[in-house]
Amino acid sequence: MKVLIVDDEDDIRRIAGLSLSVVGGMQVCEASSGAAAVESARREAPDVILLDMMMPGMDGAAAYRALREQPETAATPIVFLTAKTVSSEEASVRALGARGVLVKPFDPMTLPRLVRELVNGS
Amino acid sequence: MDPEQSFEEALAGLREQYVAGCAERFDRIESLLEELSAGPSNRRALRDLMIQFHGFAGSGSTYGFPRVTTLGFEGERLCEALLKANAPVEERDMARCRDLLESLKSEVREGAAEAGATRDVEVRMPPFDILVVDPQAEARLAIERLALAEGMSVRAAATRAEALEKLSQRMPDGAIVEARLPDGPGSGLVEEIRSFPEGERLAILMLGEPSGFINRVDAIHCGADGYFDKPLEGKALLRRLTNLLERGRTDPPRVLSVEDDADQAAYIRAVLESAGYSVRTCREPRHLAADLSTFRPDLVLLDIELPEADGFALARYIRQQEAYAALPVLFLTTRGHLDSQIESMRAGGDDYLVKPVAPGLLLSAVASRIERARFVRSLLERDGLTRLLTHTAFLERGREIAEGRRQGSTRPAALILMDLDGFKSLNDRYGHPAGDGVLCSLASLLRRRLRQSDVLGRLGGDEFAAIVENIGEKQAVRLMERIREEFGTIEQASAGEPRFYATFSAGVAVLEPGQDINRWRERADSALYDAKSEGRNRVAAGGG
Repeated sequence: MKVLIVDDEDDIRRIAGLSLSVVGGMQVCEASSGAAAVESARREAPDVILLDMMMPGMDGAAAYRALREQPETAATPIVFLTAKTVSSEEASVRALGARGVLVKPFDPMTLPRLVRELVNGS
Repeated sequence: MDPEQSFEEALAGLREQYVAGCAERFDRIESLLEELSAGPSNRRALRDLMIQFHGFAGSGSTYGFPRVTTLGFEGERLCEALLKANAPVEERDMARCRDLLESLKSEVREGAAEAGATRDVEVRMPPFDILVVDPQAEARLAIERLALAEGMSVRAAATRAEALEKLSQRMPDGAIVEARLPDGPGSGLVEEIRSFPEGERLAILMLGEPSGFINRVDAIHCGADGYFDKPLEGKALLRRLTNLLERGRTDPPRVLSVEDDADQAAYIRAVLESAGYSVRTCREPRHLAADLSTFRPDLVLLDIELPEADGFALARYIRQQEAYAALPVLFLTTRGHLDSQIESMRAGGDDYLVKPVAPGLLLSAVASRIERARFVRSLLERDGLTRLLTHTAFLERGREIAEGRRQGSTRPAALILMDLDGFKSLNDRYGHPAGDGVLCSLASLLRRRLRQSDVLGRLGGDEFAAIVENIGEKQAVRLMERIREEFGTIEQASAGEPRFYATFSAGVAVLEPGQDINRWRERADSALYDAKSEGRNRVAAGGG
């Protein structure tokens, strides 16, 4: 499984990358902004995109829309990564069509399992 | 290679990098605080500050710094409220931000010094999210400050239209709505909220001028949970709101069905489970005692005709025990005779349903009794002043944890006993209202600094207790040292007298295998005694 991690914070990309690759045995690529994510998603064709909500410039919601409009990534499962989540927000993000929401801070030992579950739709 | 081990090694490397990178973030926060100090209305600086705190909130626990996350959340929420209030940043807000920065620094420093520290990822309930709708900016900000102090996340709106827009972005857990809005009555807005798909579960309070009865009736008609007069008694408002919010966070109600007939049992289970109840069936009366203590039902459904013992005898058995005195008991039987009904009341049953019972009737009989019983229990279990658990309720939770019955959990847990230093002389010198203020400030600090899943109680007088799960002795002591230091810096108010400071001592004991609550408490008590005799305002651990 190939995962694109989109977050403006190096610390988050690093540890998510480590967790998904070492613990989860997944292939990982990264982008540090919404704009870079749109480009990188087209090039790398990931199986799932982890998308930070709060980023400077193009934020998570805007990047989500851009990814959906791009034919190559229109159907790629997208999971939001957010530090501000209440259950009702999760519902509204799901209504957008996102595959799910993961809350930061996450536990690096369980992150791969959560991602896998969301992608497999269980 | 063991993936976990190589992961741990790589994580240690990343952690070092993270700690090193924090220095730069701290500098950034400091320069933003300077900018704000020079220009209290600098929105851009305030927004950047919020983003800095946000970064800490989202990364701390992942790197093994759970309190960095807690502190980051608090900073982010404070900045967010100030941004929304669109008012200049006041000195007290600046002071809070500086405190948070200092705490973050010491947190990262101490955490980094702990070589080979175990990863400690905090599983944390998201904070309660509320929406304040009031045309007056000052009133909004006053409520926001109170709510933030309770650890809630707050959004604000001045008009009905603005409120609806905020609601469409995300549904909050609760709302506070002023009765008169510039674009329509508040009651209309409450009605609209209630008609949304998720609107029923919100805790909604209304506020307004004390024009009396009509407003209150309006508030009830439109579906609000309560009405408060202005000028606001902020603390009472928040207390009511928290109560309502916590109602929604509790586990699904549990019903113990004592029924020997397999078909009946399956029917009852299906009906109740479809309505979201958690159901356990007790097939043999001799297992009743065990089921009561392990399942802790909110209500018992008792079949009258049972093998071994009849339902009436079981009801009497339940009523004889103090712990179950308020537990609702419903009889369920095919016997439709008046004498059984009388007998059921005598035995201490709350009501009597005749089989076959329609699903709707069963559900409404169960729901109304559980709701009332939970409300009564919440009044009985909480201390009136601090809203922490009472002595009995706290020890009951402690017993559950000690018996390891909570979802088969075998994780470590620490019991912390706290006692205010020289509380009697504080009371004598500054008066009882000031003493009550000290008790409330400690309760509020504990609520903010511990996780919502942790058990907090006031055992009586000036004695407090907490049980923190998934934590070792060293971590628990470190946590309490920080809370102790922070508490010592809180200015306590007294009428007429100058402000003063209070301190507490704490004893920590980690639950050891096979220990019961009594022994656990003795050890924490003896640690507390050590802390007191070593000179107070300190934390001691162990306790032989």
